[in-house]
Amino acid sequence: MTIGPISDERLSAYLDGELPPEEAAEIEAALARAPELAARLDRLRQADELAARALHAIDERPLPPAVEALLTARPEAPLLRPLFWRQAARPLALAASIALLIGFAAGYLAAAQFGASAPVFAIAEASLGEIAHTQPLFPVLETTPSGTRRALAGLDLEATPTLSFRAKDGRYCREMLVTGRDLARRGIFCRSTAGTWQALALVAAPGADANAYAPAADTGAALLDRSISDLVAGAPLDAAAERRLIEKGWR
Amino acid sequence: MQRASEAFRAALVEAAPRVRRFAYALSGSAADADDLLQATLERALRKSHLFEVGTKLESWLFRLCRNIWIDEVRARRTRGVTVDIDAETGPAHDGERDMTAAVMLGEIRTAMHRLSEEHRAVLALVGIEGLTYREAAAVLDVPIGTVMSRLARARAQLVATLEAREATS
Repeated sequence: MTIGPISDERLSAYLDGELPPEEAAEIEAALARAPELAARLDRLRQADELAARALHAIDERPLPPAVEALLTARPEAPLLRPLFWRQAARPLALAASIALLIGFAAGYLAAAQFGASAPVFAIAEASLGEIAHTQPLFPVLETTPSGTRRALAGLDLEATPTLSFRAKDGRYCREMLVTGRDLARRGIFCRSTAGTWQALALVAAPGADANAYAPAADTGAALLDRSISDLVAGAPLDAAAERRLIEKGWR
Repeated sequence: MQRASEAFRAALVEAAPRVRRFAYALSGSAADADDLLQATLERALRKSHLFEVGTKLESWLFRLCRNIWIDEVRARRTRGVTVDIDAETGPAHDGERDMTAAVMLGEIRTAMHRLSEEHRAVLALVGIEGLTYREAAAVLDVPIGTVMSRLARARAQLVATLEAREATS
């Protein structure tokens, strides 16, 4: 609408304080002369009130737990950039495991379907079990170099260690991908002095699904990266160091 | 190793409600808005080293949010999904003395729904979050003149709804 020489556009810009002083003065003079222009200005202002009512409605909804978690992370838990992590992992990982790591970024379908907290099956150490030497994952953790895939005996699953590192408390830890037909988990396992492995974190990682919802994937990946960055002392082990440790039984 | 400082996180906490409203304006659905908010905060934490101290954090966040919306979230939507502004959210405040109070929330929803995503975005940034035209132009990657004209059109369209309501009551 244009009233006299004053268009909605100029009136609207006046409302936002975006006009240069001389143009604003011109509008003010026109407003004083023309009540219908003043009424129009009021209307435009009311439009903002309407929009504000509509958009502020979302303030009433509780924040999703995953967002709360992001915003309240512990100060001592720095966020490790996944990119950094992948770069660090590259020297020791084979092409396959790099593809898998990149695949993580592609998505976690489950998270998109069941809500943002779904990818985290467990983060607390206490809630996760010990991998004793009788369990199929044990020999993979003990002897399989990063980037090599192994079938898990007696299970319809495959496991691929993707990374090894030394934790701040001196334990050796490995990141591992476990995949099955409809399932994929990415986890961190650390070796105890008693010679068993302990699962510290496990997140859903359904393969490299190009259609999956990337932000949800970031949640799982970010949480796992954060867990790793809590644990890690220095950089991940290179292939030679990892091989030596495997030969010496991680001692 | 990059880490998001606590000060940065605290600033994110403060900015989050605004980013959320902007996400809501873009997507028109509360569920999508929260997905978008989450993705934006995650990216912000990951890329906190790219944030230039001295620049406005909110503008940077709005921009991240918009990019994620365009590149990722909007893309996953199938064609024909209804834009559902407000339908899932709680009641809006009522009882204002001005005449907008006469417009029922349902009609506001419909009116917002009728605006294009671009119009809602500019209205959210300038009309509600108080960005300048220049700031909004930078967030949306459009010339300042486009911000000005979209804003006027968005407001005029809502005014038309308001007036239609008054005409029938």
